[in-house]
Amino acid sequence: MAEGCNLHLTLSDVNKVETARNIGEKVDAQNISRELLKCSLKNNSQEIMRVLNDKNHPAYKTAKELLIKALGEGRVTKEEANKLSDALYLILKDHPNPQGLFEKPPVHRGPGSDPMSHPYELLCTAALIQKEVTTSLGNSLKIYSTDRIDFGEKFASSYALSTKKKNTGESDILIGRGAKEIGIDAKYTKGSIYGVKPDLLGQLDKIRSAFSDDQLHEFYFVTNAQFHSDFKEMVDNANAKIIQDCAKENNRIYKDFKDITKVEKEKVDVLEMIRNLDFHNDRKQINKLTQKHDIPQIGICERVNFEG
Amino acid sequence: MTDQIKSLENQLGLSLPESYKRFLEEDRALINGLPIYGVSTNNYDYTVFTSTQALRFARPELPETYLVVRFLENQALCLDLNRVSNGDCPLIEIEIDSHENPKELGISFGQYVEMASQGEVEINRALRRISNLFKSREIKSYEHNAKNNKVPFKARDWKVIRSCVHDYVTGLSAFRHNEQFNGLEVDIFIATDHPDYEPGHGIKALTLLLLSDAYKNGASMEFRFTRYDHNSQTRVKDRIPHQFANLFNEKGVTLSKKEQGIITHFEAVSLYAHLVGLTTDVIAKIKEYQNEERLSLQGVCFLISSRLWAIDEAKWILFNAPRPEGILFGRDVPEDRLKYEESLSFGRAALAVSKLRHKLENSIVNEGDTTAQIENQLFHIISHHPAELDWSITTPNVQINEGEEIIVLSRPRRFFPNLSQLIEDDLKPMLSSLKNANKIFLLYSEDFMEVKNYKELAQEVKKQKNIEILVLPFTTNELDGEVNIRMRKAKVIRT
Repeated sequence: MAEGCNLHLTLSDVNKVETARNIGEKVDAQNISRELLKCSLKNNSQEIMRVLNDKNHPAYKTAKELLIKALGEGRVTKEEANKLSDALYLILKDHPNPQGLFEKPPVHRGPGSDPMSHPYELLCTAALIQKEVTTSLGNSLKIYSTDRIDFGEKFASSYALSTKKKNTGESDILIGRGAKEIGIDAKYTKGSIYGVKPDLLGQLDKIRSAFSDDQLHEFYFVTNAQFHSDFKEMVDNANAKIIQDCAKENNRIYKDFKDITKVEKEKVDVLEMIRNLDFHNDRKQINKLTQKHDIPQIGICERVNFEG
Repeated sequence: MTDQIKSLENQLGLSLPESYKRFLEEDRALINGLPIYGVSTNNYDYTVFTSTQALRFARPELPETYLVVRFLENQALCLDLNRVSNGDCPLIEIEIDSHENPKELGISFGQYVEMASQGEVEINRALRRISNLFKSREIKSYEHNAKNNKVPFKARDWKVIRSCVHDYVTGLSAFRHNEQFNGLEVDIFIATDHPDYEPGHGIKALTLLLLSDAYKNGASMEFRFTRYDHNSQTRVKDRIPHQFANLFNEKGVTLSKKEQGIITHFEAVSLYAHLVGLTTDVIAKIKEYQNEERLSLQGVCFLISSRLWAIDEAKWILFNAPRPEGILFGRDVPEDRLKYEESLSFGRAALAVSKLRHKLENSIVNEGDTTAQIENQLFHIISHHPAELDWSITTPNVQINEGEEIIVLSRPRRFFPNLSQLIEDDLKPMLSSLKNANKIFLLYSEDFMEVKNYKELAQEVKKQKNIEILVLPFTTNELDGEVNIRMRKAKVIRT
């Protein structure tokens, strides 16, 4: 016989019982939809692909409904939500088994990871598969069919002896291109400007740390709209710090920096000058330096939207 | 609604059973607080159409005749439309994320709805009565997280108890000890089962709680069911809940004052004995002692129910020890050294066999249950799964097959002045059983290994009598310590 535990029932417990009896109101539809999609892709992927590719298929509406629920309802506009099934089809066509799409990424990729939880992450991935975008660093960003893509993977940002504080950063989308790992953070706004959130500074530090540990080789913030000037400024500051970090390790960077910026040799504080760089106007010169010394930089891509 | 149902049938290519159609027409959405999907979402996220199609995607190998009426965590509750009979069909449960076969729930959808409706009425009534008890201030105020965490209830105060298994409430009851008739007065009694355990365990657990409380607080174990009457503003007699009355019927106990809502002392004791699992021979033995005023049937039930002694330990002590009350109720005290030592030795013999059973139940090879029978001083143990014993001196790993009976004589001793003679004496009770049984064991404590030629002796016994000597990984002192703790705890309980 099961052994139970007996406790006194209080008046507040009676109220809790009443609430608990309406558990149906709290059933987690997002988790169930994720689970259903995960199993469908595992057990029946060909059929799912056929359904996603055919808007007249009798099961198309169900698949779309599940997808919207799995990624969170009401987080993007209705038109964008309608494009989700096309976006999923485009992704799965060349990348049939990405990690972290509807199930948690493996624990070895970082504890506490969650599966994809925002529709824009899917739309952004599809948009980058669909077309090439130019980043603030001047290079282009695109996901090729030969790349490996995963979602929600973590990277360690600080190595502490204390187990209490194991900070991790996260890439919404992680592109594996040979030995190179490119992280993308998809930022969505229903307005026209994406502003600064309180956690941005911490996130930039974590990315910097991941660059210095060689866990990431490129990182981009991508949005459907435009980033606020404060956001861009904070990214520029982080980029300056990354160059400073490398300059402290490699004194060739000092020399090259002085050559590039054509300043008098003894009279300047290079680290201070790096801090004051104008990343917008001096981008070409900075790129020369970063490319020569293989210094990673954080890029920004704006107005990245999936066209359906 | 009829048109919507027809359209749903066409879309899914299935014909819905009448029981489910009736449910849809009643426009209900929740059963036992959980959603049942219908033709529209009703704020519960899925329609029966979406959920059924989603299951077809996720488990394509299953037949398409399963209609999904609820998703909860990783499970889908389905109607098996392949087996419709008399307008109703069985309920099954399907794991979304595995390839396991659907699990039969042994109930039809119609029965499920009906049972849930009945249950809901009872739960509502019980909750209303509990709220009334609180409102009429018959229950002292108490909060779990109060700074002064003392429980304010005396035995004579009303208290509401919830009985839980794995965070699942399986029973609710409100009761108090009534000094006027020296028994238990019960207002609310409602119980259910945890789905992962055997049917009826919820009501058994709650009944045992009430019976134990009645024994602890009153001289009589009489139960009276009462309710508060708002018109007369007094407590009046109430009917015995069906569940409770049925439990007596199942155990073959007739209720003589059922109409008055009274369960007499003897009826309650009889049920108590059945619920803790005492067999008629044990009850008869206890009654012999009861006639001599040495112990009582309800007292032994209380000890077993509060897990101070396991039922087989108590049984063995009752049949073999000269003074069972001295061990079971801890009446033999260390000041009376000879009696105390004797009681300890019987207690540790019973405890040693429990340790052996525990070892078999948690064997490295497999885990499962064992059952034991007692014949004089011998334990006949049957393991219901293959097990391995590494306590033998002569054989490194003794294999016990599933369903195989082993016979054990427990003799955990401290001193072995003349071991050959002792073994000879120990074997006497076994001699009559030697012919039938395959595996016979003599169980000693770790002290046995302090004897110089213990290996040779064990081998000789094995060779001559085909009896294995098992050595517990506990010393006699350790076993004594455990028995002593139990005796000390039992000492405060009245016989």
